[in-house]
Amino acid sequence: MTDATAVKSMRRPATPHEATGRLIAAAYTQAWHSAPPPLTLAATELQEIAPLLLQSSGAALIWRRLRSGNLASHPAAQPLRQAYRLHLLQAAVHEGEIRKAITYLRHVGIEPLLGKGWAIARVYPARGLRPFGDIDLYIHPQDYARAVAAIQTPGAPSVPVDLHKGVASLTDRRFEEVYDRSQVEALGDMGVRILGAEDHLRLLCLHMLGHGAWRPIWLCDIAAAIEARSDDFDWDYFMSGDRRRTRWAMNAIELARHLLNADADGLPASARNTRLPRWLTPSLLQQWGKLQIPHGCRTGMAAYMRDPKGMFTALRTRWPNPIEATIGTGGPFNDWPRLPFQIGESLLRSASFVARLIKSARMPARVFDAQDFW
Amino acid sequence: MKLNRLRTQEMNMTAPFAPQARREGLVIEEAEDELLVYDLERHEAHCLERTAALIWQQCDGQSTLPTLIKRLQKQHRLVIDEDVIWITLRRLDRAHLLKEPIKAPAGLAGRASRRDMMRKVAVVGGLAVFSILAPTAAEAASRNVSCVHVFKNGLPENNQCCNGNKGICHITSDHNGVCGPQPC
Repeated sequence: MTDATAVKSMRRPATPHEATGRLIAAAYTQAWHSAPPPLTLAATELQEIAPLLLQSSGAALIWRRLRSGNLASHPAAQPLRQAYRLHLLQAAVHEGEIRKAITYLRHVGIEPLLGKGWAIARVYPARGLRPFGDIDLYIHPQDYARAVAAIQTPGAPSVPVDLHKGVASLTDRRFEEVYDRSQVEALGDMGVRILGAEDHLRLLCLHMLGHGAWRPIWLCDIAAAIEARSDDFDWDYFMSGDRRRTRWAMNAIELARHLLNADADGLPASARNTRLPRWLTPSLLQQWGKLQIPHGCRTGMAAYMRDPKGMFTALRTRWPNPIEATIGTGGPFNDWPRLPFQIGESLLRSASFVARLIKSARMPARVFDAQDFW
Repeated sequence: MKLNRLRTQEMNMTAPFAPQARREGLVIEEAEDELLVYDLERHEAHCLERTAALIWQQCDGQSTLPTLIKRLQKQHRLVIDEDVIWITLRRLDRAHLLKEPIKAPAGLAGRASRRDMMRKVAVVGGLAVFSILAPTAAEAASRNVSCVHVFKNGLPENNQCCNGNKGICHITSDHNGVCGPQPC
């Protein structure tokens, strides 16, 4: 029985996208392990999911599962291998960029916290398996303006830095507390301060859900972080803070267990008892099974003011999936239908878009500005 | 002064050829019996198969071709001749992985037919030097092609050209810039 057959046997998929999503889930199952199980897919199944694996940045992980099997030389596997080679080199390049960015900020007296990207890629068993690009640096709110000014000066290193004012997903904790729990990890010959394990796992969970969980590798990150946690991982602290956010995070962990077979031994009883809402898994698989990126490259809505024909397509691509709609509206993860949340999220975005449009129109010589995206 | 320069050139012309691998501006990683090289100046990635990688690593600017051949045979039990070395050097040169451009000897083409050359290359194996191109879907999804990088410092500009990257910058709803599909 192939991995795909095992996953297919879970329940009859409602849509073709969901069926494809299951293949993806099968491919990612325990792919983050140091000795991952070989992937036994049919050639046609590999052909079907290869573009999606490339798009979701998980190609290198899946190549590692394929390389010892009979599909290693299949043409559909070659782009995955190519992606692995590229990710390996890019990891080395980006590590240099991280060192540059942090050294520069330290030089101006700011100690940033690194999250996501390299901070989670380091948990994977080999370099290049988990690609990363942007450097997410979390700055103390008091230092933020100074950090932005510093990084905009002409002498600043030209590296892809995303500066964050505090940690947006963890606003239910004080930044000082998050900072105190941070840890310093070696990156070559320098120490890099990354978020503490509990805060990082919570951030990974909330970030994934906030973006509609469209990248399966985000769920792998959660699985890898759970399995890499130390014995003194403080579950009480992890679950502290806003209760609804905690419940969202617990659902993300349960998804990693349920879909990717993450080993969550030692989870507290309250976490083990998390029951996924009926709509959650199908929504996730549906999302994984289609090529659409909810927060990907899109033409600004303002552009359609001049070309209303494309408006309908634009609205359709912006229709939020049930996961991001629930998070966006601050809704609960229960069995209630998601349509009201999706409508609510769309209305919220529309209101925000109109407000920005009015604001832009009042500004001279710049009718449509950079925030025209909805 | 002029005389000295002429003498130096004369010496260089008569000195035995000793290829030198380029080392600066490169990121090098080993993976699965291959050597991966990223050119930080040209933003190109290359994959060197095992034999090509061994030859490249031995190019120290001091060792002549006969010395290289002897060393490769002694250290790596690699039986190759000058023709194979020249073919590999040409491939490395095309990938800008040698310090100085090389000029293959005029007699090389006449020494053996193309078919014989290819046969030799096939027998030795592992001589390929090829570019690693980003698979399209990965590139499209990857935040590596980010306008934040292009426009620097977290301030991407909507609808601006993505410099080296094809396409224009789109601001996403999470206020990041991503190079989009439309050409500039």
